Amino acid sequence: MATAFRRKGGRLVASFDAEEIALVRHVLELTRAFVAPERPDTGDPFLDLIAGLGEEVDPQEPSDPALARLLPPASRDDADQAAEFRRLTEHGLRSRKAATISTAVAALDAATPPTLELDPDQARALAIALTDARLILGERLGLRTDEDSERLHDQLDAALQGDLELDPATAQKMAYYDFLSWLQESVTAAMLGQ
Amino acid sequence: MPTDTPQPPVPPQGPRTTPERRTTVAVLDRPEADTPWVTLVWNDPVNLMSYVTWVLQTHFGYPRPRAEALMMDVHTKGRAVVSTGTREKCEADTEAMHGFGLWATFQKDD
Repeated sequence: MATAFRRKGGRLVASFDAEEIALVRHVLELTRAFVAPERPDTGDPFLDLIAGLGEEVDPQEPSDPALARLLPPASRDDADQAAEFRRLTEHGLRSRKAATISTAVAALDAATPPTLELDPDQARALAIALTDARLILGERLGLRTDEDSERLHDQLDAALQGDLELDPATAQKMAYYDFLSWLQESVTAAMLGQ
Repeated sequence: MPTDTPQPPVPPQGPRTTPERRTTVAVLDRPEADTPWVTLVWNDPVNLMSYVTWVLQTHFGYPRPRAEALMMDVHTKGRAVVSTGTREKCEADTEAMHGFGLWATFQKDD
């Protein structure tokens, strides 16, 4: 059973079962596959720079709303500005998101259950990676407003009490979302020193 | 035997650059045209209040009370101006916010 992160020296320490760590790792791997650039980097910074030169990023907003939320338009009323920004930044943004998720996954791989210990870079990477994962899940759950988010928590509570029947796929997505939200709150609060 | 050590050239006489000593803070004169851009962060139902506060503290170096006040503006008013400056600065801040998973836009400060 997971316990919240607490500070220990400059590091953050929490308890997680091996199954819980594996679950988070699985979600983060799916998130990385979803957000990573369609043309993968070679790993050689110089080659990547050359390969990226002249490469046109599609300046259109992604058609998948979850991907569109991860790579949102940089203007709400100037389509040209948003397209230009996307052309210049999208590939780099996707590469950095994938690299951040890789840092978080490596930190989970290095855990010795039931102890999960993170240095500041790993904690930061985990908080950011969980954001991307939750943004995708939130979009799939149809969260558009703060009220949607509150309703989800009420429904999940009611389902857990046995007062509400949810279809199993939705219930599972909600449970994932709820657990990842708890985890992110825990790591963020610990980083803030609360 | 003494050797001639090369002497650096004497800098040309230019405008006096000695700062006024009356204040301890140097204020750069910034032309009005340089600073009419803003970065906005928009509310969304997924990002946690603590996380938004942490991002604003981490990226902009804002002290906790300022980061929390901006986060509450995002949460209650739907958006907040999180930085101002040149277009390039606001573009870079917008890109950084997207990296953190916040929805940011930049625009001229009307």
